[in-house]
Amino acid sequence: MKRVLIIDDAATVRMYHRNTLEAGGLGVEEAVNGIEALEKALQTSFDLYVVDINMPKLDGYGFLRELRSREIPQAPAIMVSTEAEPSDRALAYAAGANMYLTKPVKPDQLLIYARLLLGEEQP
Amino acid sequence: MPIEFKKNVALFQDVVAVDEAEGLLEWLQKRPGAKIDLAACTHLHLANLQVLMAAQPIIVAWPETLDFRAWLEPVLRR
Amino acid sequence: MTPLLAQFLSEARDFLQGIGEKLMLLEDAPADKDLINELFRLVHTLKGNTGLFEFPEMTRVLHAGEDLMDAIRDGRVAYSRELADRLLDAMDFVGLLCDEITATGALGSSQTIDSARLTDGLRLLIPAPSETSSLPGSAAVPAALPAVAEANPSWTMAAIPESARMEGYRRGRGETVFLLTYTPGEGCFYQGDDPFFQARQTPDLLWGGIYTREPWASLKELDAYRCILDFRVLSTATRLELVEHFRYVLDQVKIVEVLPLALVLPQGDPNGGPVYEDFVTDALSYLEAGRLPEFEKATRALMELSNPDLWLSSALRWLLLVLEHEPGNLVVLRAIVESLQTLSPPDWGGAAIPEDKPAPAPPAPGPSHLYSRQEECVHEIITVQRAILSLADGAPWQKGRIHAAATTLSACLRAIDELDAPEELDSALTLSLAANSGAELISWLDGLHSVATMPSVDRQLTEELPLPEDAGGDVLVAGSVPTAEGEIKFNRRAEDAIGGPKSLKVDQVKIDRLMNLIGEMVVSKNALPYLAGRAETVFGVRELSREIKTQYTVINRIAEEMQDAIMQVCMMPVSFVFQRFPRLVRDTSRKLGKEVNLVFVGEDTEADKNIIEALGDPLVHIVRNSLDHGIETPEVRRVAGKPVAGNLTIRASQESDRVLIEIQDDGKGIDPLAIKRKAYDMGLIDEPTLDRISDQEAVNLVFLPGLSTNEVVSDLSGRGVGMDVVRATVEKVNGSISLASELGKGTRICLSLPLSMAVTKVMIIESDGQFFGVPMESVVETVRVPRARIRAIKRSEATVLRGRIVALKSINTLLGIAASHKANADDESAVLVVRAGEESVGLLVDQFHETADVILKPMTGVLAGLSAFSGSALMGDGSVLMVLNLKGVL
Repeated sequence: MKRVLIIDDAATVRMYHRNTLEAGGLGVEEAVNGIEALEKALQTSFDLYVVDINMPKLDGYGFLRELRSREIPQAPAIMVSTEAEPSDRALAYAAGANMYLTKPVKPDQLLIYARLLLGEEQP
Repeated sequence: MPIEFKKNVALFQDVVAVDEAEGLLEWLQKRPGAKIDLAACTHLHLANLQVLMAAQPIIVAWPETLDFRAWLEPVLRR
Repeated sequence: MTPLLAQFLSEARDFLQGIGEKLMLLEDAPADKDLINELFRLVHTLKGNTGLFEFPEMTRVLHAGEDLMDAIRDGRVAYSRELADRLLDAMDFVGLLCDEITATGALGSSQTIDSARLTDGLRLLIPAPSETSSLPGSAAVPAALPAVAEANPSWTMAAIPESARMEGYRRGRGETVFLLTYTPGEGCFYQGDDPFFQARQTPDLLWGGIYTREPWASLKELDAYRCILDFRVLSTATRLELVEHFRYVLDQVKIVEVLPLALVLPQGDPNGGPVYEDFVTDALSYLEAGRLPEFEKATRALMELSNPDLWLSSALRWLLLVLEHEPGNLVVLRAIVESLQTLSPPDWGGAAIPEDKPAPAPPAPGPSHLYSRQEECVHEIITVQRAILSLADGAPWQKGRIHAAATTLSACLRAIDELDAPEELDSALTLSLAANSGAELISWLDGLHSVATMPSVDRQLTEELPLPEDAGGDVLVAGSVPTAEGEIKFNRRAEDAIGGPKSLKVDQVKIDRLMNLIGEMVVSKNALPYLAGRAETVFGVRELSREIKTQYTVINRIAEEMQDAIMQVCMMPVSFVFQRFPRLVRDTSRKLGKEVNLVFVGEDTEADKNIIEALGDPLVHIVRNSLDHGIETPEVRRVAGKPVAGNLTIRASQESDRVLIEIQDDGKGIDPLAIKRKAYDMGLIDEPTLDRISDQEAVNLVFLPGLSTNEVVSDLSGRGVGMDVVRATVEKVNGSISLASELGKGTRICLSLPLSMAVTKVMIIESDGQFFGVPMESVVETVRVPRARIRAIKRSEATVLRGRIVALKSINTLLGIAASHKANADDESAVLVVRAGEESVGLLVDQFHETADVILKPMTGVLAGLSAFSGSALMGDGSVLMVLNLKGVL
């Protein structure tokens, strides 16, 4: 089963995403900020990251940059944010995100992208 | 300006408004051979035109304004 | 001529120049993508600019050129000489149109036929025309004639008077014509509407008509306030303007676009009229043969014989109108002519009616069970990864970023079952990681033919990926994934397209004024030392004299710098003149069946603009001569053991205050014997001269008027434009020309021109108390010759200088001055050795003085007839210096 790491400091958002992804048959783990996420990512290998931008300690950009700097297998990352400015997208991609979605994320939208980035055919 | 009714000729001048239509209709009903002088007319409300088109009176003078005349001739010339 | 138009014309010429140059370059490098793109951009921008004005002939041709360039860019057409020729011809035509606009301020319709011809010529080269062309036989027939007035199916365009329809047709060439139907509601009067007024006020009204919806009731029963009238209106306003005008009654209004052809309807009395079967036959055959002038004549002739109210006359009037506006549209013309026989409306359906524009290319075929939504996402993901891969900000996490993008691509393609060769992706990834650059992966991605693109996504992304603020300053490039419709927006300005240094366009008049003022300043400042002298000698105020002198040095320096600066402004590199040669050489050598290599040396050499411009024609003539008479055909050259391609070298260099231009070819040279013979036969030289002159002198005989080296004056070098004219032109700008040639080896022509027209360096000489100026460029040396060394030879005097005999002439004698010249204290005569033509002559003068830069003003009025002087110059002390014209003097 594929494993997705959801990184967001808001519990409700994490739950929201978890419900969506689990319903799609994907395995889910959570982290509350960039630091925690990095620790988890370095310990186990995930197949996909869903990462928020605004978090304490280490934000989404910082997490991605750190992640991409490491010599580990690099899994795709979907960045999720309330910001919709083009410059935010550009920053996200430059930092290492592979897709950018704006909140609120529709469940089916998240699932489509997640599946594609995981290499899974749509059912 | 209100229509000036002379004996058998109705004189249209400047802009002839909507409220003239009834009066024009009555006048034409009573005078089958009536004539219309449009020379000094610059516009007439459509209601008046409908009356003229229905009655098809003799037009003794067409409007001096050429584009106005171009509108009226096809529908009023017998 | 508005400032905008003037600006457009000036820029247009630059564009055309650039296009011409690039086309020439492309000949040598037909696959150069950058060149092709540049060319496209230039043509595209120029075409766009023409859209600001009403120049359909120009726009049409440029549009075709643009489409052709686009096809080349896409690889649908390969560059070829034929293609280049047509494009060059088209651009020349555009240049011609610009000239006409410059001269008359507008563009007449006389160029329409050429415009259509060139346009078609270009479009024929495009393999799959996707838009309507003006080709005969596939004319711009309307795709659909409008569905007119459903309310009254029996109403046709014929109800609109012919003059209005003709006006509509005319305007329809440039604007869109709309037919508007206004059906006011029955109770509209109660709402305060006057539909008649509304209709009359329609913007850009061409025609209007009033129609009844139902038969009129009798007067007794008529309800005047129930509206039962409709309006139909023909207008050339924009749809927006029409909608705005009728905004309160929009639901009662129907607006339909009318194609100009739909207005073409003959009407009138179908009976009677002269016999016209012959006309029909003749007209059709004229059309077939493309003989439009005869066609027009025949039409007019028949029209004059016919009653204007006839259907026939109406048809003829339409023919003339269509001929005036769409002469290339033979299908329409034919249809109208044919309708003369049927006396019914022309049959437009005869020509192929093009189908609706095909829908944009559908997205890549993928597994059929895909939801289109997913397809969109896939495209988005791929485009984003591509953009990420092209980031080159050198971030420490770049490798990881590349890796993640590759993983994403792999996953995404797998998900839609499009990953056929995963090993290729892997190797591309390895290479990319090794190089820390996404380039390999991008190449691989582009190589995937199954990856189509969706325009909307691309556009969205290109808009959303600007410079990230803190990511090392590099722009995130959203890849150059082509859109399905192939439209690329260019908002670049003319200067961007051409590139080059920042420059200012200045009116020549302003420059001339500046130059004159500075010239006057230079001369005036020279008065100061003179005044200083007077202050001391005449007024005895030495301190003042000193101060004046001090101030003078300051003013002098500034004035000289100013003069230098303005001269620099007027300086232009000779490449300006040279740039027309590649084209000339190419066209001419091809016409003559010769191969020529053209080489420029020192094209950056600068000279005054006026000189440069004066050079143009002489150089062209010299080059033409070289191509025509100098360089041999490849066969002849091969036999002579020369390389098959001839060499033509044009060299420019600067030497002190002169610009030297040298044109050298390795052709067959000039035969001195043939020239001598010819000159003798023509009576230009006598027998003793024929025997005496050297080969070098013989060869220079070409400068004599009337001489040409070929029996038949070729049309290339032109009749009557001999080397004598070239020399005269060169000398008019104070230049000189000389020629050297070796039979079988080649010819070299040298031009020497002043650096600037404005200032001439002269040496001041004195004789009998009078001062004269001698142009320094003619001065070889100054020498004092002892009386003893002057020999008398026959009736003239001469001396020997460094082993050479130099004839001596006294300036007094030459100028008719009565005195005899004076020797100095040592009984030496001052001799100014000058160059006159090929020889040197010594001028006996009383005294040499300093050299000076003067502004030479040509002699005017009565004095202009004096050949002894080339002009006068104002000196610092207010006196006038006469400057000698050595040729005229000697």
